Amino acid sequence: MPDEQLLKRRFASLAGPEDGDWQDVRWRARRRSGTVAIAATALLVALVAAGFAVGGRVIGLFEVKGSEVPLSSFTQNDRQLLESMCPDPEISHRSGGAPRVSCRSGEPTVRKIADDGVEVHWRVRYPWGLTCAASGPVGGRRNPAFGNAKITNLGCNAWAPGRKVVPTPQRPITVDASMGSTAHDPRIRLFRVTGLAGEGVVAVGLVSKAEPPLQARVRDNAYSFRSIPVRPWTAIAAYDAAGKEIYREPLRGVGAAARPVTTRAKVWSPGPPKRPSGPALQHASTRDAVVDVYRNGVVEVQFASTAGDAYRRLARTSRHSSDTADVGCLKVGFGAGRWEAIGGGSNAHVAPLMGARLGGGGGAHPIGGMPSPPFDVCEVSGTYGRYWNDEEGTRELVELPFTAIGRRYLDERATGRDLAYLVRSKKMHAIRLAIHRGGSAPSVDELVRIFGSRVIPLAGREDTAPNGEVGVWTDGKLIVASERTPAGRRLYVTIDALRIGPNNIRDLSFVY
Amino acid sequence: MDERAEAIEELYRQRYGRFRDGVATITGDRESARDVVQETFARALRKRRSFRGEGSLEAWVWRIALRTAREHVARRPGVSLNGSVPAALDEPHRDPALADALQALPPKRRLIVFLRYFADLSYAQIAEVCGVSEGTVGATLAQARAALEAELGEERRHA
Repeated sequence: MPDEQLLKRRFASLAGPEDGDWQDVRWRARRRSGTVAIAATALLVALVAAGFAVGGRVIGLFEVKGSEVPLSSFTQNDRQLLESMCPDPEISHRSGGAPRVSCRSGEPTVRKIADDGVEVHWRVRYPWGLTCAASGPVGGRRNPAFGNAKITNLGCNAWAPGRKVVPTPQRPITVDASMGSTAHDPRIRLFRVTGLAGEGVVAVGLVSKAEPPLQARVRDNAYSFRSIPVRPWTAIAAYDAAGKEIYREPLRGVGAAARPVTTRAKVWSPGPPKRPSGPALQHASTRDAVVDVYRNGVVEVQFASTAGDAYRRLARTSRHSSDTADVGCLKVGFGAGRWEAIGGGSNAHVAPLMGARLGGGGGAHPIGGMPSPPFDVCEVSGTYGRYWNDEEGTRELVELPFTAIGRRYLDERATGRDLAYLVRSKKMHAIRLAIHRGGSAPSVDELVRIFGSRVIPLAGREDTAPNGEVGVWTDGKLIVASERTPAGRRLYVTIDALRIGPNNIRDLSFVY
Repeated sequence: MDERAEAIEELYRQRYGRFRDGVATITGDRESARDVVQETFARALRKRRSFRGEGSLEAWVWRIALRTAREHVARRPGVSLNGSVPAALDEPHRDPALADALQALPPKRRLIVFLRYFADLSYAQIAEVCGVSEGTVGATLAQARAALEAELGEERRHA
């Protein structure tokens, strides 16, 4: 007779993706119980819309009203997203407190402009002229791995300051569509479509060639489609109270086969920027490379030799993808046990001299989240798998610290990554899944046997292994992995089955 | 939100995939199963006050799921259910041998197998969902496993 566990495993291998959507359930539950209310609202909307038409009001106008929302009401993820648009971010330190990112140009004002019961919409206006439309599901999105968020979409009028992010008579609806394909069906399908609707628009429809449009009512100047059936949708249309189509725009690509990802795709890079005539603002060197940072944000990395270890690794790993690597720089801050890092990078083709222009670009409507020089760290990152204890290690191919805090950040990030890669490893995932399904965690000795000699058993949850080794402790349910940084700080991460529990590495590496 | 609604949301967040995969064996594909599961939980939310807490919440929601799935299948043109719930692997190509072996089981036995191994329900929950005793569930599963062993053993011998 087949073993019970064997059958469970065989069925488990047939499981599908996690594509649940609780907001949709709530919306469906409300939709039915509130049929009368919705009908009354629809009638009111229809009457009002008809009044607009009779009174000669302009269809599609969108009046930005609603209340201002304090930034503090958003989650940390949301605030980081909004801050990422800042043209001149900086890290500020409070005595004894954690560092925080602030924007020299000022903070945005956020106004809630629509809520159809499924999706909330905000208008975000920055002091330097940038305007964005943000939206997210009612109640926000909970995610134990990535952190909670209220905002899941953000679109701005960067580089097109006159462009409206709300409906206009020319375009009476905005369209925010998410598309994709699944492993079993390579055709592009619509997962979700939401947007704002201007005056007089009472319904929005997804249009396909073969069947009648799938319509969603407009509520509080917004509409949402969830659980969209798989069809080759060709367009999205707006309808007035009489059911007349008043606007249509194409939905491109739905139903087409997703382009397979090729490992040798061509990637564009801007090429090395022109070197400024003046002297470099910052200069650092290692055995492998020299970096110069100029006041206008130009960064140049010159490799000492193409025969050097770093360059050969860079060339080898970049060959797997696109012959490019990322040249980036960071400003970092540390306080109250927390790191903060701001910065970014630019794609560049691998060559003995690699350059990028980072920040300092200015322009009428700059965007970015990129600080201006001087930086604490510059680096060149290759493209390769990040596997625990592999030969690529946990450092970037070239790391060039300019300051003591930059050096410490690189050291602690390398240690944090070591723990994160361990948690993310396939072997650990299998253990986490087994605990999630009701099994108990392996003993510390068993963990040591599974993960090898760099892992040592710890007697207590708060204990730490010597430098260079990873300590593990377990009570049969929780697993705590810890490691000491070169500066002596204890980094740790708690694994609670599939959930990541208390840890102090999330600001250094991505752990899930 | 009240406690019942919170419990239903928690159940959805923990078990959505199991519901979707289990329901797909009845609706025939995961897309419609997703729709049925969404509707199931919406119904559960609306009717939550009728759940008296005498059995498991999951079994109660599963009863709604089976009813919703049956309605969904019955709406298809030319389908007559005659009181039975026809269940089959929705993606048989992913494990053809298992799909064939399951297809050889009588419909009721097959449904109980799916509730056990796809939906991951306990014997007591399956008994509650199907309105039979736990002993019947145990016996049915034992018979089903024996039949599967015969079919899958055949597969191994041919391999």
